[in-house]
Amino acid sequence: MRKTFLRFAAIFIAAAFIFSQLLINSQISDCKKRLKTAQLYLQGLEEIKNLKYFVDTRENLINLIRRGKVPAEGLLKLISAIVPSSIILDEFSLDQSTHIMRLRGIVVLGGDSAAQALADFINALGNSKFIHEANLISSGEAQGKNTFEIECILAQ
Amino acid sequence: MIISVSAFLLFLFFWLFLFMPAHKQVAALKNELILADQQIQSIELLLAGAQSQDQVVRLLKEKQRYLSNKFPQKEEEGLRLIPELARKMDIDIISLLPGTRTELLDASNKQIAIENRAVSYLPVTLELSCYFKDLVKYAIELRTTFPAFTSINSLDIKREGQTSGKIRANIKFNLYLLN
Repeated sequence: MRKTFLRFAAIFIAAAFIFSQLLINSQISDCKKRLKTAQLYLQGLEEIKNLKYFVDTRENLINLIRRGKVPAEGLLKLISAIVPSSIILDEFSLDQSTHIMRLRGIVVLGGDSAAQALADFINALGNSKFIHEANLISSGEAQGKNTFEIECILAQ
Repeated sequence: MIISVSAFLLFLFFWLFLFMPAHKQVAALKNELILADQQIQSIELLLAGAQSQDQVVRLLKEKQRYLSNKFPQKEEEGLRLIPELARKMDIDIISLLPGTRTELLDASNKQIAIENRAVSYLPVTLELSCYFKDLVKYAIELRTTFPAFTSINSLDIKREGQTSGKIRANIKFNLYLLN
């Protein structure tokens, strides 16, 4: 009776050991498979990670350099697009450190038409995303010409 | 007694030489798996919103190509190309005055560096004679295709005469470089 019990106990323990060993082996095999898949996927993504790091680093630098400045070429494009044929610009100045842009010129129209053309031009300037505020500094008649000076505070 | 001792020794052998190493191996593999998953998640965060991985790689490579030649090491090439580009656009260079190469500092006066290389800039003063439309094109080219990053600090334009239609422009800009 005792021998039988011992035999059964030995068989049971051996079976338990074998079962747990099989379980662990299957766990190891499963982990290895998942790890291999993850590493393969990661290899594919590694290129993106490196590229993104390179691009982000340089774009951050560019943003730092551009901070508080308006793109000058954008302003020039804006001016060439909105200056009406009735306005001739004589002078243009832009200073990024003071955020000021000044325009001097003449209006070739006379009377109310000149005032209207100038007002429309100032409005068009003020509506630009590059310009925070556009103000007429002076306007008048000199040597038969309607002259003007506009000062714009640039967006920051 | 002999049977008990044998059973115990067998159990000990099994535990020490089979079960424990296997258990340690599982734990190590699981740790590796967690680490790989974390890395994948951090990259996938970058891809959020993108349509496909190939599309992201293509876009990033395009950006990389554009940005990789925007910060040259030497100023000579940039200085050589400034008048060359102007000539191509029918712009007459009256003068070209490069300043002293200076290190770029942040708000707290600390040197700015990327990829372990300090960023510096070369101030350039350029006087040009051209038509306004050509100056606009030139400024756009300086920003987009020019093989160095530039930033215009100031710009003064005056009409040259009442009849020619040409302008005289004085541009002050920085040419950015990586040491």
